[in-house]
Amino acid sequence: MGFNGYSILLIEDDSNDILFIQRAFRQVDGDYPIHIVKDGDEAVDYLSGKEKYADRDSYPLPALVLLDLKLPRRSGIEVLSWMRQQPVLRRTPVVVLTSSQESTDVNRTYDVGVSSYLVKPVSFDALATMIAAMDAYWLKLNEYPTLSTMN
Amino acid sequence: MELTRSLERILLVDDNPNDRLLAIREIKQEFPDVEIQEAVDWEQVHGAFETDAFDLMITDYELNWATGIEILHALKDHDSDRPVIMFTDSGTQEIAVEAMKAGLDDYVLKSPKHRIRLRQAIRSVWENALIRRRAEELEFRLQFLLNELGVGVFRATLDGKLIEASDGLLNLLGFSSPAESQPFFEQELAWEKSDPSEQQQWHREIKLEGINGDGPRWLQVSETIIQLDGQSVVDGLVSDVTQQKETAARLESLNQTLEARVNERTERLEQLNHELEAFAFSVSHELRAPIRQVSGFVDLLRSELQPIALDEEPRHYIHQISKLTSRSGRMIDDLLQFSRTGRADLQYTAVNMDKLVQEVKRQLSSQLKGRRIHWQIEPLPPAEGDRNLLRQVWQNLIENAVKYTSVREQADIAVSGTRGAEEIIYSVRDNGIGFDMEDANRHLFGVFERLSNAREHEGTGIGLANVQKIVSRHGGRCWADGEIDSGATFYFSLPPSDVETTA
Repeated sequence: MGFNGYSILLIEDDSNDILFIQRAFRQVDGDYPIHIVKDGDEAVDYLSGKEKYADRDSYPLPALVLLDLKLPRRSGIEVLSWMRQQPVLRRTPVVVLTSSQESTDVNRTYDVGVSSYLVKPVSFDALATMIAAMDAYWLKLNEYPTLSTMN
Repeated sequence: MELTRSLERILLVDDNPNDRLLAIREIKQEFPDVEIQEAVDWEQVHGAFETDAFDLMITDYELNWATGIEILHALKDHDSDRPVIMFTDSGTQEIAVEAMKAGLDDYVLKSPKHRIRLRQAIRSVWENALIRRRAEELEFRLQFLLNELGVGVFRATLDGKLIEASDGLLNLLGFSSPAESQPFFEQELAWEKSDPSEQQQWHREIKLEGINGDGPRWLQVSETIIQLDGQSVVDGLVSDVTQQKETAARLESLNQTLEARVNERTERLEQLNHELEAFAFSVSHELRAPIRQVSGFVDLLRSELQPIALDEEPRHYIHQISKLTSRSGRMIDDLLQFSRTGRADLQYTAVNMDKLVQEVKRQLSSQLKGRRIHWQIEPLPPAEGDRNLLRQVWQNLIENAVKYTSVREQADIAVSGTRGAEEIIYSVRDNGIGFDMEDANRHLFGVFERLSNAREHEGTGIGLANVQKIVSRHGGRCWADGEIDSGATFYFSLPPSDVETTA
């Protein structure tokens, strides 16, 4: 079994933002397991279980993917697009958490199949509130599809 | 030479000394100051001609050495215009006639009965001479002027036969004689046969094809019908207006290029404006990330330091930093949104303003908690525009009204709209803290401008700038009335439309 039903995969390249998000989660739910990859190719590797990521105990398939659009190597939208073409990963809830508010970006990501689109707020408190809401909704309330191991 | 030039010197030709005395006496009666030169023979006559110091000549007819006629001819040879009077006692009608034909100005008999006429004759002859000379001079000057101005003069019959043509006209047309120019005249310049009683004077322009490979020439012809000796003739003036025509044509083409250049310039300016807006947007966008992250770290720092007992000062510093970074964050978000309203394409639809205002009021309900507000919302005429942007306009204006009336026990907010011929005008009036009109003229609608009395209230001051931008993009305008502590009314107008809405 590779899916433990509650881990989060954060796909984000900016270390400051990683810090903020981790802190926000810590405020909400002390020890929540967040796995982090810092570029698009790495994200695909993680999700497809390539090499070290084959170890699903250490690197579980996420219940929720938090995705920044601006990534090195593969872009956020390319990662999303790839996911939606995979037989099972296409069901995984993906929440985009990014700086852009451009309607073109928003529309395109929804077209490709994002579940929700969030814009990083300026104040940390607002981010914390957002993460709390995300936790309450996506991780506690939302009904999950079946996501089994890919290997 | 003035008409009043006085007669100063007379040449008297007579070989009889008694007759000479007689003449002199007569002359002096009328002209006391005149100098009289006497000539008694040919030698003296020729001498007098040579020195040429006389204005008028008086001569006898019967001289021993010549006849008056011979003297007359000699004078005419010398100067055909010099006035000359014959003063003689031997006269026949034939001689008088012959002399007059030869150019004599007057004939006076020496007999006692007639000699008294001499003075009058001198005066008349002299005056006539002056008038003649004046006329000649004027004619000369006229010709000179016409030539210099390049104006040609002509006179013709009603049916197009040239009677007279000035040199100027011949030059203008390129002919060497009136006869040569007759066919051309008949064809081009002759007055078109219409009823002479209808029109007395007219002007027209004629275009001539170029001669000798030059470009076309333009002539302006002015003609008048005058009566000459009971006959109607046409007097005309012709001038070359090619230069003026060319200048006018050049001006026209310059005007067109000017218009083209203005259009080009306007296009370029609009393009530059777009580039500037895009730049402003991209800068705001780039700036947002670092501001956001600083703000994040400040918040984290604050919470880290919370449990630690800090002194007043460092605590204050952290508090201030936190406040300022939040403010920067809000400003940048407002700026981004402001930029966005500038860049987004307008989606025009018919907009039901009543419904829009109700929506906005509903969305503000959280801000209205615990407030006593008396709303007076009148029926609003519908308009055409981008619904989303117009919502922002109402939102900004109504939010402001709500915010700046927070000090009142009861806030009065009135929303109304009237449809005029030129525009539809909407307004939001409140009884809040108002503003100083003088101050407002420069600042009210500026980006991030806040008037002095508004500083304590929340907000970054971009709301009104946003309103103005949106309204002006719709082709409308906005303005405001206010008084410190007596409230304010904000107006905005939109172009008129014939919309019927259900939306």
